[in-house]
Amino acid sequence: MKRRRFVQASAAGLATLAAQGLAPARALWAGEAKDYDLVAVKGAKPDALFDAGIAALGGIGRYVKPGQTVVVKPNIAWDVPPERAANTNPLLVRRIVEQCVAAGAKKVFVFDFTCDDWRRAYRTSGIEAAAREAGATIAPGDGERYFQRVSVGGRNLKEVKEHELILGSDVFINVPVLKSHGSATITVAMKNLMGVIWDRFYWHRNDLHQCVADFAGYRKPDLNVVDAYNVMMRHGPRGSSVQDVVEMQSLLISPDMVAADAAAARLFGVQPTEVPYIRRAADQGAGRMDLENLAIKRIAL
Amino acid sequence: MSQRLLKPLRVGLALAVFVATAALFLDLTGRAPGAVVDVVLYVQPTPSLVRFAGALGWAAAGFLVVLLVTLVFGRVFCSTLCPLGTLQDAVIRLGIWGRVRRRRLPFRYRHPRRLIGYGLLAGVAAAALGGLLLPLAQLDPFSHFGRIVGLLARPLAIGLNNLVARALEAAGSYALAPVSFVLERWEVLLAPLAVLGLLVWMAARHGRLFCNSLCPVGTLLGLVGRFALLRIAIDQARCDLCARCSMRCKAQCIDLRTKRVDFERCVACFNCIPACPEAGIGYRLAWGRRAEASAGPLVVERERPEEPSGAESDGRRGFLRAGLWLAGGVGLGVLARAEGPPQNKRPTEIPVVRTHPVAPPGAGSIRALHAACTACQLCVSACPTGVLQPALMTYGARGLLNPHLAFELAYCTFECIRCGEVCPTHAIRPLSREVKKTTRIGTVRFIEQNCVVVAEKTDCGACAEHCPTRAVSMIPHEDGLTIPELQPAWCIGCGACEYACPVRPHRAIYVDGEPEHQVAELAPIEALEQAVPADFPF
Repeated sequence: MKRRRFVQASAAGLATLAAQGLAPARALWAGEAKDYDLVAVKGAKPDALFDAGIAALGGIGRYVKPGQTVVVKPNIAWDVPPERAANTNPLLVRRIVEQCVAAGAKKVFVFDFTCDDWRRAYRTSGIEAAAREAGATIAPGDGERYFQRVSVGGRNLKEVKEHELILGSDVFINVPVLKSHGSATITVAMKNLMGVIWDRFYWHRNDLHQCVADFAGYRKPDLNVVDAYNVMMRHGPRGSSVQDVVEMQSLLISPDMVAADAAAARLFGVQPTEVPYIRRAADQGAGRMDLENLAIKRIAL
Repeated sequence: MSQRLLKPLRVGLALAVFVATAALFLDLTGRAPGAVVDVVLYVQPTPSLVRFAGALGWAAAGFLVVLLVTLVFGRVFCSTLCPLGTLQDAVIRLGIWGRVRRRRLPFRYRHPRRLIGYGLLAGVAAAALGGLLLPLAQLDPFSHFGRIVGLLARPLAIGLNNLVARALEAAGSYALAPVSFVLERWEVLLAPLAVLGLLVWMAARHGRLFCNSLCPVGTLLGLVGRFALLRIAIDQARCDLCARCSMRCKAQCIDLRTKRVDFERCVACFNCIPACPEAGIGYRLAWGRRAEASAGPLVVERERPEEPSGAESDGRRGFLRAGLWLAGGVGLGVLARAEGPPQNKRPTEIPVVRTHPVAPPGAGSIRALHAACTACQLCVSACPTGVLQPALMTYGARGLLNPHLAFELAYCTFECIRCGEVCPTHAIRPLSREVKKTTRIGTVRFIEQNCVVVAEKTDCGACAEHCPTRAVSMIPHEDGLTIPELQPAWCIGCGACEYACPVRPHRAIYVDGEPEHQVAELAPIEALEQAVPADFPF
C-alpha cells in the first residue's frame, strides 16, 4: 500500500513537473509545430535540448499516446562514467522517460544489450538511476531468451534474434549517442540498433556496414533522439579518456534514422557519404541522407 | 545473571554471524561495501592473522580479540563466531531430532585423541612459517565455509534467483534481475563437496569432532583455553550423575566418571548449563573449587545401544539430495550464461601458450598471492563478470583453488576493484581505481595466423573495440582491411581483447600472465584540435 501510494505520488509529481517544464516550450513552439524531417537543437543541457526539440515536433504526445507501452533504447554499452560520453547522457534519458510518463505511457522500458557486464554498465553509466527515478522499468538485455528470431530479408542479413521489448512495445524511441567507432567510423542511430539484437557477432563477420544498413530497412524506430551533448571524437566506441570528448551541446531528433545519422556525421565532421552504412541505407530506401532537401528545424538556445 | 541465559545468547549471536557471513558469499547484487565485509569478517582468526602478518594494524587485529576472549571464557569462538561451527550445529540439531525419535542418546563422553589435532596444528603452522599456506588454506574453518557457501550454495542461490526472475518475467515484470553464473571447471566443486560430506557425517555421528581433530583454529584455541580465567566445570557436590549434561555435550568432553569437563575440547555451546536440574554445571573461576578431589570413579553412564545406523542413512540421503539440488542449480546457472558460437569458418591452429597464469590485480605477484590466499572464494563470489575462477592446477598444487582470471569466460572490467575490496586476507590488496587501471597483471600477445582478418580476409576489430587502454588498436592491412597493433607498455592484461576475439578453438589475441605485476604506462593523450562547429553544419 505504502509503495503504491509512493508510486502514485511520484507519478503525479513528475507529471506536474513535466507539465510546468513543458508549458513555456509549448507556448514558444506551438505556433510553428509542423512535420519537420529533422530537428537540431544546440546550446543547452541535454534535458533542455530535448524539451525544445520535441516541442518543435509538436510534443511527445504526437508519438506517445496514453496507455501505450514505450521502449527507450539508449546506448549503455560500456561500464564507463557519463563524462566519458561512451554511453547516452543520463540526463537526456531521464527527460525522455519523464515526458513519456507525463504523456500517459502505461510503461516505459529502458534496456540495452551491453558490451561490458550489463549490471555494471547500467549502474556506472548513470542511466539506471536516472531512468528509474523518472519512472522507467529497467529491463535486462543480456540473455538469449529475451530475443526472438525474426526475418529481416536484407542483402546480407536474412534474419536476426530481436529483443522482445522492441517486438512487443507500442512505441520505440531510439536514443543513441554520437561517437567515433573503430570499425564503423561513427556510431549513431542505425548502429545503436545492434543493441536490440542478440547475434551481433554475425554482423561483424558478414560486412558490418551492409548488415547495419539491412537492419535499418527492417526496423525503424518511431523516433530517434541523437545525444551529441558530449561527443567522443576518437578512440571509439569505448574511448580512453575525457580528452577524447568535445562538448557540442547538441541534439538531433528525427523519425528518420538515416537523416539523423547523416546530420550527426556532419556534426562529427565527416560527410555522410564517407560512412558506408549511411550511404547504403539511403540507397536501399531505409531513409534519406540528402539533408539539403529535408525540412530541418534548427534551434539555438 | 543466570548462566542459563548464556545458551540463548550464544544461539542468537551465532545465527547472526552465520547469516551475515553467508550473506557476503551469497550477495547477488555485488554491492556490499568493503567496510561491511571488513566488519563482518573481523573476528575470523585465520584471515585476520594472515592479513596481520602482511601489515600490522588494528584493522587486522581481530584474531587478538579472539585470543583475549578465549583467555577469559575459553573457546566461545567455536560456537558463536565460527560459521562452520554453526553449520555443524545445524546438522547436529537435525541429527538429534532423528535420534530422539529413535530413543537414542545423542552424545556421550569420548576420550580425547589430541595427537591428530596437535600434529595438524604444528604442521600447518610450520608450513605457513615456511611460506606455504596451502595446508592452512585447506583446513581453515572460515575458508571451508567460504568454499561451501561460495562454490556450492551460491550456484543454488543463483539458480533460485533466476527461476524467480523467469517466473516474474513470464508475468511481465522485470523486478528481479537474472544473474549469470560461470564456472571454468566443475572439478573444483569436488573439494567443498567432499568437505561438506565429511562434516555432515562427523557432525551427525560425533558432534563437534571436526573441531577437535581437524580444525587448526579449534586446536589452537583449545590450547589457549587451558589457561582461561573462567571455565565450565561440574559442582562435585551438586552432581547426582543424571548425565543430562553429558548427553547434550556436542564436544563429548564431559567425563562423568571423574565429574570433570575437558575444557580444552569444550566449544562453549552452553547446552549443558540449562540441562542440569541442579544448576551443577557452569562457569567457575579457574582457581576455585576445581582443586576439590572428585568422589572417585563412578560408573554412571547408561549403556548406550549400538551406533545408530539411521543417522548414517539419513546423512547419505541428505547428501544425495544436496547433490541433486546442486546439479539442478548449476544447470540453471549455466542456462543463464551467454556464450556465442565460434565465428570463424576454419578452426584456428596455433594454440595459445601462457607462460604464467593471470593473478588478480592487487595480488602483486603470483608468489604473494599464494603466500596470503586461503582460497575462501569471496573474491570469486564477488567478481561481477565471473572472470575470477578458482584454479585447479593452473598455478600448480601450491595455488589450489586460488583465484585466477579465465579470459575465455569473461574479462576484468576496467572500472571494477571489487576483488580487492572484499579479500579478507589482503592476498588481493585493495587498490584505488587509478592504481588498478595501471596495474599490469598480464601482457597482450597476438597470433597473426589465427586472426580472422588474415585467415579469412574479413574486417573485425573486436579486440581494439574492447581495449580500455589503447594497447590494442587497428592499423591498415592489405585490401583496405585493418589488423590489430599492440602497445604492450600500455597493456594492463584485463583480457577484454581475448574475450572478444571471435576465433576458435585458439584465439588470435590473448593475455600472458605476469608473475610479478608491473606498472603500465599511460597511453599519451594528444590534444584534440577539433573545434565545436559554430553553426549547424547542415
